[in-house]
Amino acid sequence: MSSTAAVEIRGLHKTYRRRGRLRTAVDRLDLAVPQGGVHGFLGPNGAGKTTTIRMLLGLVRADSGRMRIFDAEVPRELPRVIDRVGAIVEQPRFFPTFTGRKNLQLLASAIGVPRARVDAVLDEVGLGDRGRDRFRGYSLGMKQRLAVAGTLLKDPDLLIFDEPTNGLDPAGIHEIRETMRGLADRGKTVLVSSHILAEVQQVADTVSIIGNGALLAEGTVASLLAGAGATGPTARVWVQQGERAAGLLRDAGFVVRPQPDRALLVSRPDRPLDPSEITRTLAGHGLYLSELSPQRADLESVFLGLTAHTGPSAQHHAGRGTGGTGHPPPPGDQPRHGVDPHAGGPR
Amino acid sequence: MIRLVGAELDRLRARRSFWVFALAALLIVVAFQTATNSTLRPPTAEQVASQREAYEQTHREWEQQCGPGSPGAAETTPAGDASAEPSSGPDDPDDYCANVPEPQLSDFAYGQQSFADAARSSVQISTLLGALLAFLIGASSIGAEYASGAIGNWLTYVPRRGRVFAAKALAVALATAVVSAVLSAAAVAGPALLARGYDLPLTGLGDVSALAGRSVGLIAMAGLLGFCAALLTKHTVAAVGIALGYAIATSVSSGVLAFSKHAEKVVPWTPQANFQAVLEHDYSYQVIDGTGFGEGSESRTAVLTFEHGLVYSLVLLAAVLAVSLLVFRRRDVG
Repeated sequence: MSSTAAVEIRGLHKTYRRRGRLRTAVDRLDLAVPQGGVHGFLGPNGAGKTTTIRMLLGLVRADSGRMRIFDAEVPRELPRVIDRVGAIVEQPRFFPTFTGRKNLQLLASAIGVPRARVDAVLDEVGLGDRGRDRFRGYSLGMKQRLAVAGTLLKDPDLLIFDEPTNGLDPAGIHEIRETMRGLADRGKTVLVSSHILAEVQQVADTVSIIGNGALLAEGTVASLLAGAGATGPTARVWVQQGERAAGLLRDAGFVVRPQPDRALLVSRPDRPLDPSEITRTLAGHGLYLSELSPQRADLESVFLGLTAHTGPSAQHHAGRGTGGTGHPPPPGDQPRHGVDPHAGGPR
Repeated sequence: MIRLVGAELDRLRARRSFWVFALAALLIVVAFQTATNSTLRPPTAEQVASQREAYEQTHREWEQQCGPGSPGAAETTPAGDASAEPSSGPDDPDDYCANVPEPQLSDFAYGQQSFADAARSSVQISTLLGALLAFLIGASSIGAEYASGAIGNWLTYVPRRGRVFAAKALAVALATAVVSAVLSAAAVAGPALLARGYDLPLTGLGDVSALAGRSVGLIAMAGLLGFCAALLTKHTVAAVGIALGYAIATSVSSGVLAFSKHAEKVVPWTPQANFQAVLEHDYSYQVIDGTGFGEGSESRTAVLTFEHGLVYSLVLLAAVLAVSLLVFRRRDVG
């Protein structure tokens, strides 16, 4: 495995037995997180994100597979690199009857960090004046901030945030985003898992998308969006005489995809789309638009496209990636368009 | 490791329940000294007069039955002869006087207890309370971590589970040992101060102090057992349930074994008997030979030695700790 990635996972597998039935939580997952920048670890609820993170941190035992953090085999060598890792796994868990400050002081004592650092990180996350309040009295946003403060106690090189925006209001979500971006800009590696793809798209440099415990796609955000099933921008068009309009546009060289609501998604296979061409083409035949709106590809549409083929075929693609295109690689020895650990970095 | 233990002790010290339990136990031990006071106090003038009146009444009755010139005078048993056969009753004056010695004033003594006896009772009470308290402290310290989920957060900072386990166990043992030392000291100091106040000699102070010392060890052990029970069940309440179940089982088995000829085989392997053997420095129990009831049965005393109790207790503790460590290392968290 490469020694330049912050996190590397190969063939990770984990099953649980529930009511006598075996359920696969993580299915031979391969993952690489480049050093520096924000790496989004995306997938729907139940995809295996939190289980993967727990296995990385030694909280859950993997059935098989290998994991490395900063070139240390984990969980066996996790104590060697734990000082370089800070993590928040799901909900922030502290002692509810202790104050925020007391909770961090206990952690600081356990890991050998000076107690003065506690006040510094509390100020950094904006909890300086609330440090003497009991944890159970904190709002959800404050609890998240305290958890972030905890991860900053030891000034780690890798921060792992698992669903950090769960339950937060827009201001809190914005704050978390800014925190992650700020950390990445300081040269840290931030691994953030989320099922809210649109949120992560705003901050991530690279992403891995998993579904049913298996890797579906990985790459830079730009490459995933570029391979989202279209060669260029798309426009959504609504015309009264939709079928006639579709025919006219196809004759003019456009790619037209009718939608269930009778709208048309129009794109150009050969050159960037100019919406005025659509207007001119249809108006020349007496057809006038009721709607014309440019459509931008996003991670959500990428993911929906990837998981459209659920079931055994999607399981077949697991672990080998889809080259960022959302489609299985063609037969033969096609290289996967994966993440280059050497190319990571802030946008 | 020292750092970890320090953090765990800090956490225990900061828990409100720790202080509530400790203070409650201390108050009970102190309150128990009122009972100790009543046993150490010399009899009042009223009590002395009452004693004498009871003696004189009983002696008069005895003289009527068995005194010189009475019908049973020839068969009178000398005073203090304990070898007499059980009396068949006053209906038969010959047998009655043969078996009942002349009453003495000392038979009606108020019974001012010695310092050693009073202190032993006090230490036994404090041991029982302290063990209960320590079990609760140990159980709640880890139970709270599982209940809040903080254990998962803790392990992301300190992933070496063996060290985490050892630090938590050691902190519980140290904290409960300190609390039990305070309780035991109060349990000995109370009777000592009272005895001094009544000009009683502190005979047996060394033995009582040794008893208190063994009490501290047993209480710390109870703390560790509570810690392990809550770690295995991940619940403070479940751990308390285990303790309650054990207490009930012990009560029932004690009653059954009291009349069983199998007591000698079973009792040496029960935790309760072995803990008693450690505390009391040898534990005596009754064994029934024969059918166990009525004629043909005999009761004799068997002894479970301190050494047996100590080895048993240490092996039991080591086994429970080993199982708990194994489970903690392998268990998925979160």
